[in-house]
Amino acid sequence: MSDRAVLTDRGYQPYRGPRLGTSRAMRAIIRDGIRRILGLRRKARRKVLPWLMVGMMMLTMCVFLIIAWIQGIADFIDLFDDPYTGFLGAVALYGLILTSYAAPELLVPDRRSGVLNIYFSRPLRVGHYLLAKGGALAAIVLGFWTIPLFIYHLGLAFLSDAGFASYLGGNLHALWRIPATAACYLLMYGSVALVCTALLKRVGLAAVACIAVFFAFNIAANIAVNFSETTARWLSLLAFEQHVTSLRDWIFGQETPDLMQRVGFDPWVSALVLLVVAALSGFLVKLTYRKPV
Amino acid sequence: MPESVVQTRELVKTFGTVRALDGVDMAVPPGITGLVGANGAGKTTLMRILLGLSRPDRGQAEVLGSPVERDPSGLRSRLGYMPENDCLPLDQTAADFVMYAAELAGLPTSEARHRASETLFLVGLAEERIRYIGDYSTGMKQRVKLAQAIVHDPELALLDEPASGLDPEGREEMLQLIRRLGGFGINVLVSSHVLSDIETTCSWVVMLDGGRTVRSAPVEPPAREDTVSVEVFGDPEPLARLLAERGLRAEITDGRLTASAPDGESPGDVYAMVRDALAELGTPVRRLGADLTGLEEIFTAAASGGGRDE
Repeated sequence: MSDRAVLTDRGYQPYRGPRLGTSRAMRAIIRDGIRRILGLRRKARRKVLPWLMVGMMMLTMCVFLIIAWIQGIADFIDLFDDPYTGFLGAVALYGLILTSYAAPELLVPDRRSGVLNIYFSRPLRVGHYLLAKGGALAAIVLGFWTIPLFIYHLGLAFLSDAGFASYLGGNLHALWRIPATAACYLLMYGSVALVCTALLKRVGLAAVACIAVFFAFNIAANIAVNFSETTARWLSLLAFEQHVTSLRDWIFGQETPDLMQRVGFDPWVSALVLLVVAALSGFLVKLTYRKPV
Repeated sequence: MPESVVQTRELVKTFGTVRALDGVDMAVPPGITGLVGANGAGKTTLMRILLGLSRPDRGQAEVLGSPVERDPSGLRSRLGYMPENDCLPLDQTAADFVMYAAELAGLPTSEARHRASETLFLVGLAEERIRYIGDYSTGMKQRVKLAQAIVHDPELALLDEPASGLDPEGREEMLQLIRRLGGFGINVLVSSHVLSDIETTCSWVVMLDGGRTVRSAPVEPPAREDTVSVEVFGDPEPLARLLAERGLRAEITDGRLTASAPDGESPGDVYAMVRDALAELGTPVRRLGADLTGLEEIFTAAASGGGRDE
């Protein structure tokens, strides 16, 4: 071939390699889902909200560690009943916003763009698709909670008067408490967000509705508890933020939140609410996709 | 490769009171096959049944030698599908999306990336592949849809109205691409309601009308005996007069002259007589050949009750 030769048509090569089937397809959906939520390989405006929440989470963690460094770890721990639940309480809103955005962002654009026609022309069933999307949501939400919390845990160990290794050795329970708490946040926030996604057809609308549900029932239950015990109990069942807080505090060995104490809900009630909401969201999403294309 | 890439028997599909397919029987050989019919004839419904996305109420469908209902997922890894309607994520680049489509068909990531690039080159989107699909023209979007349908090297590609919404130039380019697929060993079932597209692209045609098969046969239309069609540069009138003097019936329609023997008479070899007349007059010829029956005439005749399968 001369130096000036130009290849104008490479034709089409048959593919003789492996076809990895449904498992490969599900991995691809999970990876694409993670990219979609984080706005990766998308236009810049898609990145703003998720990375703002990640940034806020990390910034809050840094602020907490700086305070612990300035004040000394003993005084810092005195500031909160528990340094972990204190930190989690401060960043819960970021987690709620991210999850409320992530769930509809994963599902709604596929429905609206008609791309499901292509997905389901591949070796893929609705169950596989939904499972993979759930996997992407879980990866993002669990990562959002656990990674900063473990960094925070290491930071506290580094600042500890007892020494790095002694702190880690004395707080081994953090190794299960952190993932367990993250799982509670994933199930509660994720389930409510999926219910909103199943009922509403726009990403922004579903996200706002999800955040509104958490705030509205929380505020209503807190007001009602001062007037009517019966009303307060019913509203408290729907005060999802209180339930996830109750479970978080139970996992970290703290007292049940004030509202839950006043209406007489133990953490097992919160666990039950969590399971019911998760089951309801699974049912609703499955119902939405009974005829996907 | 089975003798028929697609075979259906008595396929029936009803939506409420509408019978979309009403006993469709057909056997599609390897190669490029056109599926023609008016809007609502049942083309898309048939394709969805062949993909296993929709179940027929009655009847059987076999694709690539396997009954569709036996292992729809496994079968779909051997098929490609280009839907007619909007089906592209506008916030992704073509390169990312076609690669993703390849992975959904089970290809490993590195292969998917490589083949996405090659396929987009093939459909003419080499330079534009890293642009967002939302910024594409209709023609470019159709090319992306075609690319995702063939990126995983399917044995059979089902293309639903691939030239829909394209201007004449874009339509011709799309049809050229489809014609090339046959050369790559990909069998194609392409639906269209534009008969001329099928005529110039396919070797076999299945005609649907009102949910029924009215014809399943080679596209090559039957030649009329003792009838010759000729197109000349310039005025065909002198040629028509000369042929009439020699006992032939000569008619000019849209600049095309059709010469035939009068009913019940046989003045000789019509083709030789036309050739000699052209030579005598020194008329330059654009096209000379047997007069062919167009698909449109066949479809009209078949749809009005004269359907036949071969």
